[in-house]
Amino acid sequence: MQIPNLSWMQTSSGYEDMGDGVGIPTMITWSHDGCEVAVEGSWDNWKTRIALQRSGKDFTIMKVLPSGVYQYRFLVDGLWKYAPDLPSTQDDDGNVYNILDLQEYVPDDLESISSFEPPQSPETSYNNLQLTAEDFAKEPPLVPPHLQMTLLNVPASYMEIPPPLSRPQHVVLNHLYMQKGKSGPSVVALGSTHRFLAKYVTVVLYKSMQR
Amino acid sequence: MYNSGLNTGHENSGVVGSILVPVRFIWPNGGRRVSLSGSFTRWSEPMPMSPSEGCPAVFQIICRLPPGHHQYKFYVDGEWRHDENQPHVSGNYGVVNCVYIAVPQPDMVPNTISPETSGNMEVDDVVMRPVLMFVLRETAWCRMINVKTTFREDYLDRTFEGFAQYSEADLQLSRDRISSFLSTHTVYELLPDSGKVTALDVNLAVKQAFHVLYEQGLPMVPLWDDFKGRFVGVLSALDFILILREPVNIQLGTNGSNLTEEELETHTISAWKVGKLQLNLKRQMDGNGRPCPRPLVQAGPYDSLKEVALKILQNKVATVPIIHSTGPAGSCQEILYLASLSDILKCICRHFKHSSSSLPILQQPVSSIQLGTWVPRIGEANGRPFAMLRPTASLGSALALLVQADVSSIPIVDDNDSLLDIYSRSDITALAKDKAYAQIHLDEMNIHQALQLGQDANPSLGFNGQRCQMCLRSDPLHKVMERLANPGVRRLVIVEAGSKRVEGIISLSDVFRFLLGV
Repeated sequence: MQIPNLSWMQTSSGYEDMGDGVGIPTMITWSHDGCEVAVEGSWDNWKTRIALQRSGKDFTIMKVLPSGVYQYRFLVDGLWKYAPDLPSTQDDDGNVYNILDLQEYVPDDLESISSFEPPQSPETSYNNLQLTAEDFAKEPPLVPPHLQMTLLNVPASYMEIPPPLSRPQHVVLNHLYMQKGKSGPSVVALGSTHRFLAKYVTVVLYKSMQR
Repeated sequence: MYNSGLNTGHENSGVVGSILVPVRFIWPNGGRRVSLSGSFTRWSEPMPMSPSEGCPAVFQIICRLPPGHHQYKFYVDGEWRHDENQPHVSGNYGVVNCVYIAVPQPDMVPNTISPETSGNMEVDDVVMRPVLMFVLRETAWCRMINVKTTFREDYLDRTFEGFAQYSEADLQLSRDRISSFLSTHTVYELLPDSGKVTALDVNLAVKQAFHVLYEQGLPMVPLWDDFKGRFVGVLSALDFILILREPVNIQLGTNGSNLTEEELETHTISAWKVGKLQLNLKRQMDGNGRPCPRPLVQAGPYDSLKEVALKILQNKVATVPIIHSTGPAGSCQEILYLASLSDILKCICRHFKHSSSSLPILQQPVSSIQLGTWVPRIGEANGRPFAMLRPTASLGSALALLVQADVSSIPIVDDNDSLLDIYSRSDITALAKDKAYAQIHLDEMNIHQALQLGQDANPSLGFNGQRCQMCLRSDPLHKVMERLANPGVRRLVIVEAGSKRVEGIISLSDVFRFLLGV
């Protein structure tokens, strides 16, 4: 279980290599039987053993770790065990460890987000009349305000390593934005944000305007 | 008399990744079957010892141990015994012998065990690794030998000075692990949660393209062709170097040194690319003998990381556009990301950072493995000459060197060869500031001024240390890899501690060639 990144700085654990990156709170759980459960991991090179706290039938501990891939295993009543329901790996000597792949962000769970489903077409017929000159004289409808929240307007960063873009709101996906004249008199920039599986890509294409 | 070569028949490794010293254990008190057990084998299966040549009552075995304190005991004909004449203590397993292995230094006189060293014969050890020899106890059949370890100069390559020489097995194990990691992970993992890609239409004028690259701070962009409906190439800093240097373009029929501003304005990228073909660069012939453009080097989001790394190395590009093709015959292309070796390296570092023992080669100092390009030392045969320039050299010569030497950056050094700054291909986009490219002549501007232009535009980059990342020759490989994994860092300059004298350069492609064994 992961809690989304809150930019926490490291708190209680005092090991050397926490200097690189914000700590991400993560929960380690043992849901099989036992009286006393502790965990050791590669986050501090297997130096310390931490006892898990019992809550009902499960044993849990909260750790704050920088993003990375860690191996760990449980000491249950004096025996080394790994959790069979969690990802695990085996080393050359035949020892099995659980694996924790801690990402900096929580990826979208594709099966659970209903906004990925395109809405049904509205129940209407295609018998509207064509637009006349009167219609064009009226003010166009206002752009829905949430469309302003496009990533395209994030100012270009001049840092060597630009900060990562935030995740776009689903409402701005698949809309085409246009910017004229900023990069040159006859250059237009077209931008759009799409989803690819669980990741988001914003593409900007610069074209020249031809007469 | 005694074979002092390395008999590694019974190897027992301690903690992988630390220095292992071969140590010979001797049981001089006779017996028929003798074996050795110790804290280094965790007191489990004893290792059989073999009788020595010429002295059948003396048994020996060579084990590789990490430095530190160890205890051991002999199992002689079914009975546990210790050697009375060697240091021993009472422990959990009765009386055991103990030994302390020091961290090996060249020219070390051994002998941490028995002080009895009468009756000597100096033996010069002609092995590359330091070998600690226990002093043999005098018996009726054998002579006492006192051994001094030395390094013979001809076995030491001065360039590779680390006393911890790595074993081929370590190297192969690390390479296998990395190869299997890269083969099982795909490009999709490199994609950021929310990324941005800029592309240019191939009919955009070169001048505007230059400005876009400069404003957005991009080193390269993919090119989209509307007519063909797909991505056809990339525009990179090297293209601008060539545009500025080469007399333009045979198609337009103009001659002369630099492009004027109007020419740049009307000259489209596609026309430039066609003209570039005729410049004899990376030319490929099609069936009719006409030069045809190089196909775009690209990859898909489901390709394995290993395929992409090999593609980058083989085609000698820096970045590969990741394009997702759908529709009939892949006709609908969606660009997702621009992947480079530093992204893949970051993935590797992230995965193996907390299990460093699984990649033993990463602990080695970079001077001891054949990595990167080094300044040839005095007296060594000149391999590839190492390109460096003074800050007063002209920009034209820098660009010429970048193209001819086929390198992506040149260290800028002072008269003592101390590192001042670095000029890379991507710095060329700084010339777009205030349209400097139209007003300068390449041979009149020197490198120092060119770098100033870049620094004025990006004040946060003014600090020298951020621009050229450095490392020492003694830094272990994993440290070099972590530095290179930072986005924007494509090379590390190896400097001498203190004086900052340039000793070499390690680039991303050097590291990958080494790790993949290509």
